[in-house]
Amino acid sequence: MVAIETAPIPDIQTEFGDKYNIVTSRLLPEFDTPGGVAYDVDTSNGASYYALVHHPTVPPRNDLYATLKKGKIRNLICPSDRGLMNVGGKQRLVTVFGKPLGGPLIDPQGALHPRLNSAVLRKAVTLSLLKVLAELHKRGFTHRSVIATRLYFASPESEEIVVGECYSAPPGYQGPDALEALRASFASPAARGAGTKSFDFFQMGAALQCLYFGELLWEGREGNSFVMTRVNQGSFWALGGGREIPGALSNLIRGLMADEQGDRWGAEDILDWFEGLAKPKRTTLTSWTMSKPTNFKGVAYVDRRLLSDAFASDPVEAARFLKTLDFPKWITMTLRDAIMSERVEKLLNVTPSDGLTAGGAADDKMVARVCAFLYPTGPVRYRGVSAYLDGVPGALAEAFGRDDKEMIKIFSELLDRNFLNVINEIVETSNPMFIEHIRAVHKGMGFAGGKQIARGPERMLYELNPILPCISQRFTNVWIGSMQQFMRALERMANTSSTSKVLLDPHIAAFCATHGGDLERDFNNLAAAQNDSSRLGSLTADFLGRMQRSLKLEALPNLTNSVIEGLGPLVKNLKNKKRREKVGQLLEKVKKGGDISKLTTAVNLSKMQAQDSREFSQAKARIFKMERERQRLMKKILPTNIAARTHGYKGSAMFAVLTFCSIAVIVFL
Amino acid sequence: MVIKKKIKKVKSRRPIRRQAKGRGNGVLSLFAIALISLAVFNVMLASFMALVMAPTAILMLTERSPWRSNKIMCVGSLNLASTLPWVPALWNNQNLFGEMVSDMVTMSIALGGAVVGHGLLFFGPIIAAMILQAFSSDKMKKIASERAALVEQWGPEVLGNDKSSKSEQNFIIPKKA
Repeated sequence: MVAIETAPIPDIQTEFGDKYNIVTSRLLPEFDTPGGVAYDVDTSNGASYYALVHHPTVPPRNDLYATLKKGKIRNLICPSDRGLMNVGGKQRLVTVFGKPLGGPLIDPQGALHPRLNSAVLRKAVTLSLLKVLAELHKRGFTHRSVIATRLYFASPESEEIVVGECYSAPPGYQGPDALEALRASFASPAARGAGTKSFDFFQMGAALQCLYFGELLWEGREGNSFVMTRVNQGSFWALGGGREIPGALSNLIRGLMADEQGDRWGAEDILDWFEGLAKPKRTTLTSWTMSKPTNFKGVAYVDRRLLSDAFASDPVEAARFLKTLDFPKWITMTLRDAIMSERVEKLLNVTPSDGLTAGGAADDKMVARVCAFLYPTGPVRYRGVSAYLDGVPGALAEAFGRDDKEMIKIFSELLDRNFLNVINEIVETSNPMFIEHIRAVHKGMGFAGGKQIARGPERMLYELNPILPCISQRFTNVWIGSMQQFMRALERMANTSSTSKVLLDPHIAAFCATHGGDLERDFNNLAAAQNDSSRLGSLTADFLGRMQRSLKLEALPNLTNSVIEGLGPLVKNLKNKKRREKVGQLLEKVKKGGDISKLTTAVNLSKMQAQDSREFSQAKARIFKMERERQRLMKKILPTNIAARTHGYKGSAMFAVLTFCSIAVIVFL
Repeated sequence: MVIKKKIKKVKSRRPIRRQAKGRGNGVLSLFAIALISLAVFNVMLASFMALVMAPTAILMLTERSPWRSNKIMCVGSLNLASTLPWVPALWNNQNLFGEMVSDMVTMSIALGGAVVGHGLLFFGPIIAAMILQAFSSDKMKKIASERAALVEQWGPEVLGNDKSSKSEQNFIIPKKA
């Protein structure tokens, strides 16, 4: 295995890094999120901050950052500043937040804050959460990370509560299943999507319940059995372990944790609860119960959502099962209230097994269609993955972070336009948001099956996650979020790695094609020339020169040296001796200046190379002609030779005519 | 298919033959018309001319090579040139015809022009071949120097993979290169 050279971190700390002194020895686990690790910050002005060092493979919510920078939300930990800095021997994106000093209401070990009591819970906590969620919802965002351990007292004295930040990771990313609304809990932890306002209110209810019992209720409550309990008993009872909450708080938590979105309390309901208004119990007409249980893998399912989940968790067995059924009849028997039109039947396309099964992806897609039909508002299920489409970007980044090739392949297959259109047609009546979710991943769809270097899953990753840095193995120590940073990283690593090889890294090609404009063709050309070192060197010089000029970058001496060294074979391959010497001199000149763009403007190697090869061919043709001419001339010319005879007879005739004229003149004069 | 090709070949040849024959006849006809025209004014001179220009007339009738016109021009011009000294005398006095025809010297000179013409036709290609050979040597030297310059500029690769070229390298490229 060849060791890959990684780009070294910058020697100098950034301005941002100089501004904030991160104390890496003082970890703050209570502020950790799936998006990063929290450290204490030492400031000279006495302000209290903590810094979150971001994980490169977790895309932060950039749009949320922009809105919070414009206007902070009271009672929400908002980002104060962010930038790149060298932390622990690596260059990382760091976001600095104002630090609440009162401590978490319940710490990650489950110890309850001594100042927390039911009065604080009823008033301060509920009101603060309501304010934060209402303001976020007003701005068009969901929080999706309302967890009891991420609620803090603002200061050691006040009862004001601050809600943990929600910008460092995608919505609902890697949170505990048990604290997610039932609908979201069916999805993979990395692919829950933005969800709706009601998902936040569910989390608020779950957080209040945890705080009321003073326990980390989600611990040990994972997996299918807990989902089944939630479906059968309701999330409130399942999470509370069957324990009742006495008093008015019970109504609030029950209302917030209602499993049906229509039944769940919203901001207005909470305000009514504050005012003591009794709310009539609402029950929606949505029924997930099937009229006849279905036995799958020895379990009798009566809930459509659970059956969909069971099918999704074993698609091979599900495909076999579905093929043994008389599908239309089974649907009519089990889902009496479901509308099964001919069109839907055609879309589902479940055909009984005839021994010539398509198998593989076709079966997986069939199972996915049936799962979508059974649970139209649920996540898309495909080959063991359950994902809301707007959560796919984050999940894809997570899969890349783990280098899970199988999962990346599954996501590539999942983002197939035709497949998703069929799913949309199946679910559109019950789930009008699905088409919006398709639009959210639309940008990445065209690249899913790409075979070229700047396309494929890597391109899909960067198109879907524009905020994500380049996660190539060459950049494990540095944060490459823009083309400028990329070029500077290349400059730093130019002394140790071949620049051309770096450009042929699929991650780097995909990142540049996403962030650098129309560069796909350049990378295709580079990939096509990878076995031709001289052409590769020339294309690399052209590409980097163009980048340096368009990005208006400073002199890059190391990169220039490396590029010029890479041009060695090209210069050597120039056939014309004079041109070779001239190019050598020009390259020496460019080397001193550190401006790669001059390789294209002053030297223009591609043009020279083309001219050289053209002129070389012409010279070869000339030599060939000369050789033929020489062969011809080497033959002995005899008087019988046609040319000799022609010239000889012509000369004789002319001589004779001249003689005749002379004699005629003499005779007649 | 083969027959068709043959027909084509035959068709394409015919006009050339006709043309050649026609042209020959044309020159001969012109020659004849000139003599007849001359005979209107001076029968004896015309007869004398017909007699001494016989070698040229024979050549006109027999020559079929691509250099026919040059050959006729050569023999004809010298034949006519050798006849010219006697033309003014015969024009002025037709009675001299018999004397001239019977005079061996006169007839030898008149017909000798045609012989010299044939001699020129024999030696012309030999001299031309010698001159062309001299030119070829000059041209070869020029090619060698031009080729050496190209090899100097582009390197030995410019000679390609042609074996004949390589075998001649020593001849073409100066040892210094």
